[in-house]
Formats: sequence, structure tokens, C-alpha cells
Amino acid sequence: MQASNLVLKLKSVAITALVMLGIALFAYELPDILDKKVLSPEQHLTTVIWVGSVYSLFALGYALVFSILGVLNLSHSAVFMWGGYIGVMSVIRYDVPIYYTLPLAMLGGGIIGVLVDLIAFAPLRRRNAPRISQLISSLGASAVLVNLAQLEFGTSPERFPRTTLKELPYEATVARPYTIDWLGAEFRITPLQVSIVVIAFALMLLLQYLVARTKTGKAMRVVAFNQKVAGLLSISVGGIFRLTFFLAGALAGAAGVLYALAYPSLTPFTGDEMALKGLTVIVLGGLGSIRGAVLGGLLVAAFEVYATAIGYSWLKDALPFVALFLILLFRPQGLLGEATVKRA
Amino acid sequence: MGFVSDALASIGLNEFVITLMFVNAILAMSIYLTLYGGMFSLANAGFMAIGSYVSVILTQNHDWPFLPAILVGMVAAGLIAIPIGLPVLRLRDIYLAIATIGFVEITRIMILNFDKIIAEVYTRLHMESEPPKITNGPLGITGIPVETKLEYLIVTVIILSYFMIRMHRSRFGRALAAIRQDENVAASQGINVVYYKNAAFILGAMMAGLGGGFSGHLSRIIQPGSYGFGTAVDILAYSVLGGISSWYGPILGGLALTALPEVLRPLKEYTGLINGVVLLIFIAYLPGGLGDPALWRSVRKTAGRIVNFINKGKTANAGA
Amino acid sequence: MLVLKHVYRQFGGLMALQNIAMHIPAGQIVGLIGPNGAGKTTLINCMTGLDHPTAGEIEFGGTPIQKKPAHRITALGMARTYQNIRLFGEMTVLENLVVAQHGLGKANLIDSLIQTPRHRRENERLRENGLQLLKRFHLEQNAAVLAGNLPYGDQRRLEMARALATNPKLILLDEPTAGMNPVETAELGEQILRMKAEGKTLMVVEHDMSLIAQVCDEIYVLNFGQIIAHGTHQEIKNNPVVVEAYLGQEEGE
Repeated sequence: MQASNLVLKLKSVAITALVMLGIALFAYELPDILDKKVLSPEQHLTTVIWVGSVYSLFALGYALVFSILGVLNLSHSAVFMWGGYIGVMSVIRYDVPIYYTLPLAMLGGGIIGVLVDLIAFAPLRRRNAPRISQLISSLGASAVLVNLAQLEFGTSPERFPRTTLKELPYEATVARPYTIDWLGAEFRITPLQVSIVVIAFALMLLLQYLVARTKTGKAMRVVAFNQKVAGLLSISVGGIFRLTFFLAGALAGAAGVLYALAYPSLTPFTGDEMALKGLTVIVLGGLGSIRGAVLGGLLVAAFEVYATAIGYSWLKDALPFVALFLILLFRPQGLLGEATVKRA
Repeated sequence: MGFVSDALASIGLNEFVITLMFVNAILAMSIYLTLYGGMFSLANAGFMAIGSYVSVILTQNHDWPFLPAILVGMVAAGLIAIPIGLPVLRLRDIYLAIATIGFVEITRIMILNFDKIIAEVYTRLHMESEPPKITNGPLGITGIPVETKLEYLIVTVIILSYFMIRMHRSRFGRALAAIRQDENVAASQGINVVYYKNAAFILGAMMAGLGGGFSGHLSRIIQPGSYGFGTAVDILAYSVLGGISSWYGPILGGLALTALPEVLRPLKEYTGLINGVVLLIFIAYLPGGLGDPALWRSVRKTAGRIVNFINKGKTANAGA
Repeated sequence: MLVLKHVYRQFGGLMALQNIAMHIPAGQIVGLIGPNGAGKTTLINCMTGLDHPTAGEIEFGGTPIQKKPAHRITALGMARTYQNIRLFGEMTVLENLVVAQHGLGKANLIDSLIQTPRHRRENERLRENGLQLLKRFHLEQNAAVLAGNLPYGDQRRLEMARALATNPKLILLDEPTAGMNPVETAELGEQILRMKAEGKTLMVVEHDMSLIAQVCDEIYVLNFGQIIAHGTHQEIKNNPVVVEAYLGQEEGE
């Protein structure tokens, strides 16, 4: 038994290593082979990392809820969009210093997440509705959130005002990238991008720590394993569910602010575009897997960046879905997921 | 008749809207068939796109008459369903839903970039001639004459309803119901699960393709943007709101959810919000949907009580 | 009737079945016993096509079936019941039996759309067969009840009726007495012997030795995925290996 577990672990490590190697090779070789004119491969790698970190952070919320409740919360993307608006509008309307937007959006996102649970999930859980009904219910919640945003903020794109961005350290503007020489390669990256990557990975590590190392995390894992057992251990199952939704919402809020910092075009429909990316990310990584979400985020970003780089920008949108399709057919548990998926 | 249509038009249901309501009823029936077999497939928006584009290209670029064109669109959707269904239907619930969303998006993106792909092929093969413009990218195909008539749709809905009723009582329908309830046991009772799942998937795809053909010849313009994730969700919402415990549930759902925003047009800004709230309320408190026989029984009971109450009031008044 | 040679089933690193060799002769009742987790249900699943062996051969009436899908094996004449009852709960009792005769019908969708005589005759025949089976298992008064609403004992009997409805040569019963009282168990024994008298072959997977002693001609004992003993009830009862397997389990519990 134990020997075989080791084999399984080695297998998943090997697959991860292969995928990483694949990304690295892709990064350094392919653009050169296909087109000499495109930007340096180093540049693509940095783009993959900073865009991918936002995707990962966003998709983590799906993975978290799925791993604890076994349902897909399709309103997560709407919470993400609200997080972005909370950040941007608090600056525009109330002159909130930009440093406070992140905690503010996380708090707001968390609260919206808990509300979504109360309105869209809890009534269905009470009568043991099928998971499919919960999926549809979360779509209803998503529609409500998107429409509320539309009523409140309108549909024209919003952004963090340029002047407020200057409050950030090192005058974080895209116009002034740093150049880092490393192993003979030149990485150009702006401080803003660095902060996005640092914040995203810090939050992801924090979540990993919370789930894997703390008492609360242990309770969450027990609930995920078996709700009856959790009840016997006098763990408040409802409380854990609300906590899960709060954490997922907070992650969505953070991702929303980072997204709004990176792209100056936030609309109520931004979430819808991200929803499909987020789903692709967690399917690639494995539906309930936290590490899988991180890997998946980087992969989706890699698909997008390289499809554009090799001159097929239209492939950019299709590639992630083709990958999603193939993964579901050949490895439905995802790249890092464990092989427990029920198939016919 | 004129009086009825005037009355309907006064609450926002003009002929165009009513026609659209029936188109959506057909789409709702298309997803009902897969749901009846326990398959949570969202692929029908993709098949709708295929039916729509194929039939419109036939009538616009090749001067086909309307009816053969939409039938070919329907068959095309069914044919494409074969290679999609075989691998994808091995997946279950959420995995199947996501995979079929992937299919819908790939279809949309392929249609969006169809001309570019053709052009790419032309240059690769060093062909001299100018590559044709077929789907016309994000702008879509415009100036399509309105050929879809309400009569066609009503006839189609009647035929499909007959099909559904018969299906329920047939060997085919029983097999699907068994698969929905327990796939493995169904197989152990001698039911070829793969065959029946795929058959239902293909039939559903054909219905969606037919609905797509009708919708393509209704709105004067078709664009790839109209057949994405949102449409897939809409189609699902029709059948869920209508209820999948009966064959007529999805029809009611398709009609009602299409009519709702039009009836609420005076509250224009809030229609999206109201749609979302309606969906939430239905899924939480009326899981059987509009077509739930239990709902109608309780409605009848309540109505009976109201009638009784009024009658009592009358007799009481007469007594006084 | 059913022959297993060197059958293995591996789940990841777990060897669930190891080198299984069995022979179920036609017209007999074979018992399969073993402690919890011995691999009994895995073995049945491999026989009926819900699962497939990693290696080895299974022959049913001379046809190799180890790679065949479940519905093909059913068509060849094998039927089963389930340890945890798995009826079609949203269908009525009679519908459960009609759908079970799927393989005996031929009508397709078009037949039912245009209501061909073939379709009508077939529907009537299947319902008639279903009603006969209900009578045999004393369920006829419940024909229109949803199977999910039946009392437990009736559900067990309906499962057996459903297995018979496929017109099988071999019937595999997976713990048919689970949750039954001694009276019901004895009655079940009668039903099993009646099936044997009608020429059916049976395999009974059981925990409870009283039923095994009542009906089985020979017995296989499975433990940790291996056949550890084979023989008549007397032989098994006195086999020290078997006694140890069961005692060991009792200590563990």
C-alpha cells in the first residue's frame, strides 16, 4: 500500500516536472523558431508569470469551494468583478488611499461571498438538492450581482485614476520597467507587475498555510471529507461553509483589485470573461486542488501569451478550451488531482 | 384574433417576441432530452450556432429555400454531435457541464475566426484565388430576410411535444430514465448505456440545430457572440425554470422566460436583475419548475378555495 | 456455466483480487463467503461487466466476457442484485420490471412514434411478464407504487424479481439477506431453491452462514482478494484456514 502511494506521488511529481519543463522549453524555444520578430522569450515568461498569478489567485476561490462543498460556485466571477469595483470606486468616489483598496475589496468580496452562500446555496443544501441545482442557483446569483453592478456603476469601463497609481512605491507605471539581468537573459518588469505577483503568491501561500497547518484548516478538511463525521466531532459545518465562502470571496476581491490595477478596463462583464478562464484553470489543475489552481493559472496564461506571440492571436481564446477539453477526456482529475473521479 | 394580438402587443408581446418565445421553447426541449437521460450537457448553444450558421449560409450564399436549409442545418448539428458525444458523454455532472461549455466556446471561436482559418489554408496551399468570406467574423452575417413564421414554430412545437410524449412511454424513453436514475444498474439490466446516451445527445443536438435555424432567420443578423456561454446558460434556465419533471415544463419555461423581459420592458433597467431573482426563487422554492404537476395541483386547490370563499361571501350577502 | 481463470483486479497499488479461479457449474447454487472487504463485490462487478479484471479470463457459457460491457453480458444471460439496494426509485414497481426486460424487447423509437402493432404487442407482453413476476414475489398489490417508497423487505424482493426479468441463466445475489429477519431469510431460501428447480444457476454472496448452509451445493471462501478454500458446507465449516479468517476478523471488529 505505502509503496504504491509513493509511486502515485512520484508519478504526479513527474507529471508536474514535465509540464514545468514543457513551459520552460516553450518559453525559450518556440517563439524564436516560429518568428524572429516577436519580443524576447524572457519577456513572455514574465508576462506569463504576472498574468498567471492573477488567474491563479482568482481560480483558487473556485477550487476552495469545490474542495470543501463539492459544488461549483459560478457566481465567483461576479464577486471578483465586485471586488474590482470596490477597489476602484472607493478611490474615485471617496478618495480612499490606494493601499487600503486591497483589504477593503477582500472584506467586501468576503461578505458578498457569504451572502451568496446564504441566498443561493444554503436553501438548497437544506433540502439536499442535487449539485446541478446548486450550479444553476449560483448562476442566478451571478446574474443578480452583474445586474446590480450595472445599475450602480454603469457599463462604461472604469479604472484606477492615474494619479493614485503614483502613490504606489517606485512610481509604478508601465512606462518605466526595470531590467533584470539573470543568466544572460533580460527580464523587463514593472514594479506594479512585481507587486501583483508578490501579493498574489503571498495570498496563495497564506491560504495553503491556513488549510494545511491550522486547526481551522483541519476542520475544513474534515468537513470536506465527511460532514457527518465533522458533526460528530462538534465542528460547526455551517460555520465552515460560511468561512469557506468568505475566504473564496476575499480571494476574488483581491484578484479583482489586482486585475483592475493591471488592466484599465473594468466593466460589469469583466467577471464573465474571467469565469471561463477560471473554470479552465481549475480543470487543468484538478477541480479541488489548490496547487493545481496555481499551476493551471500559469498554464492558461502561457497559452494566451504564446498563442499571441506566435502570431495566432485568435488561437489565444481557443487554446485554453482545447486544453480543457483534452484534459477532461484524458485526465479528468486534472494535472495534479488524484484519480478519484467517477466515470461511466 | 386581431383583438388577442392587440392585447398581447399592449403588454409587450408583439409578433416578433411571440415567435422568439417559441424558438426558445424548442431550444428548451432540446436540452430536456439530455437532462431526461441524466446528462448535464450545456452543448446545445453550440449546436444552435451550427444550425443557425449552416442554414443561413445556405439561404444567403447559395439561394436555398428556407425549409430545406434549416433541415440541413439540423442534420449538420446532429452529425457534429456524433464525434463530440462519444468521448464527452463518458463524463458526469459537473465535468460534463464544463466539457460541454468548452465545446460551446470552441465552436463560437471557430465560427468567429472561420474566414481567417480559410485564408490561412489558402496561403499555406499557395492558392491564387481570393479566400471567400463566409461567416464574416465578429460582424456576422447581416441582412437576412425574416423567413421564420409563427405557424412553422407552432407546428414544430406540436410535433416535438408528440415526440416527447411518445418517447416517455417507449423502450427508448424507459432506457433513458433508467440511465438517469442509475447508470450502472441500467447497464446490468441490458441497456446499452453508451448508445442511448449518444442517441439522446444527437437528437437533442438536432433539435437545437433546428431551433438555431429558426432563430437565424428571425433576427436579420447572426453573430458568433450570440452563441456563447451566456446562451448555454439561458437555454438551461428555460428548462430548469419550466421544470424537467414533465415534457411540457421546458416549453412553459422557454415561453415564460422569453416573455418576462418584454412584459417588464417598462422596468427596462431592472429586467436582468429580475431575471436573476426569478431564477433564484424558482430553484430555491419551486424546484419542480413551472411544469411541476404538484404546483398545478396546489394552484387549483388555492383557486378552488378562492372560488369557495367568493361563493360563501355571495350566499352570506344574499342571506343578509 | 461460469469459469474464472487467474483473475486479477488491481486498484492503483491495491490488489483487490488475486489469481481467482472459480467454476460455477450449470444448475447448481454456489456460495461465496468472506469477511468484509475481502473483495466479494469487486468479484461480482468483474463478472457482470461493471468492472473489468486487470488480468485473467472469465468465460460464460464458453464465451470470454472479461472485456465485454455489462449490457452484453446481461444479454448473454447473467443477472444480479445489489448489496445496497439499487432500484429505479422514481419508477413504479411494475416499470422497474418492464425496463429490466429491455434486452427482450426490440421496439425502437420510430415504432413508438407511429405506434406500430409490434410496439403495442411488445409493451403488453413486457407488462404481462412483469405482472407474473410480481405475483411470484407477492408484490402485485404494489404494482403502481414508486419503487423508492416500498418497505425494505419488498425492495429486496423486487430486486430479485428485476434480476429474473432479464430472463437469465445465471443469477448473482449480492448479500440478499442483508437487513432481513430469520423468517424472511428462510423465505428467501425457498425462492432461491425454486429458481434452482426451474433450471437457473445461482451464485449467492453472503455473510450469514445459515442461508449458505440451506441452499448452497458448494462454497468458495474469499479473503484479502484470494480464494482460500473451496468445498461443501461441511468441508468449509471444519477448515481451519476459514475459521481463522473469520475469527481474525471478529477480533478486529
